[in-house]
Amino acid sequence: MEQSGSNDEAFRRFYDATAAAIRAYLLRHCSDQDSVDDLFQITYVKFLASRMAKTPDAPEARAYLYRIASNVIADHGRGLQKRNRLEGPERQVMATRPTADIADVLALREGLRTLSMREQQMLWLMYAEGFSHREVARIMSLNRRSVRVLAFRARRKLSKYLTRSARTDKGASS
Amino acid sequence: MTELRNRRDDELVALLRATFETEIEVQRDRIPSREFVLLMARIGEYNRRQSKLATIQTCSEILMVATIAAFMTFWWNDATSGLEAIRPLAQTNVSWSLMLGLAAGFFTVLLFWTQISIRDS
Repeated sequence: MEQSGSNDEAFRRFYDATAAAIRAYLLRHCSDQDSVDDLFQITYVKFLASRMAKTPDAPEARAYLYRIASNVIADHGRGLQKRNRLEGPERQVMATRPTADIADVLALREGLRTLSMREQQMLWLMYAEGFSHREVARIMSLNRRSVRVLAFRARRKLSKYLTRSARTDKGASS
Repeated sequence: MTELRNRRDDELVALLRATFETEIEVQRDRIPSREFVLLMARIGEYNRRQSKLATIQTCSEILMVATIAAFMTFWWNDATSGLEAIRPLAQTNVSWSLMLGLAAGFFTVLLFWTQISIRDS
């Protein structure tokens, strides 16, 4: 935890490069939007407590941070489910997604919501962060071949949703 | 919206990238400061260390109490039945003063270990 000068500087660069993306990742994949700031802190605190904190410049550090974030989301989701079981469904926090004014982006966001959490995370890691199939597999504890297949299915599912949505809109307007 | 109908896979990927990128850009102004995150990490580390020290201290106290209890039992046994009656000691020629010294030494080491652990926290 004791940060030396150079290590501190390395972490500063790492934080500046990853913080916005990690917050957006948590915001997109966590159903409890009020807890995003807490989960954000937990993610970085866990990273700083790990051995990887000594080498934040390492190429695998970013993937490691995403792995922590994914685990934090999963743990939080399990906690919410348990709390909802104990306290009833009225306590369930509804997700409030940011709105967009572009129709395509709006449709895409709606489409993303129809995908499973795993598929959404996978698409994010691949297209927001540009991780390879191997890295995504490592982050999500999956087989590399499974990642390729699952990503293809997710894209196809999304594409179908967008096509269906376009047809519906056209039908409504005519 | 009609152009979405026949969107090819690469177009979909481009749209995904653009959407995600926008979401990331939106968050740039909302992230907490690095100093705050570091402070939280240090507090977490301090709490973990305190918890570890508390465990060590508890174990030390249990060991110290167990040592005292063992010594007291041994002493009571000796006081009631006499030194000659304790066969193992008699057979190995271990003197009572040596036993007393060893027990006291063990107790002292444990005591210092605990004190040092607390002081370093």
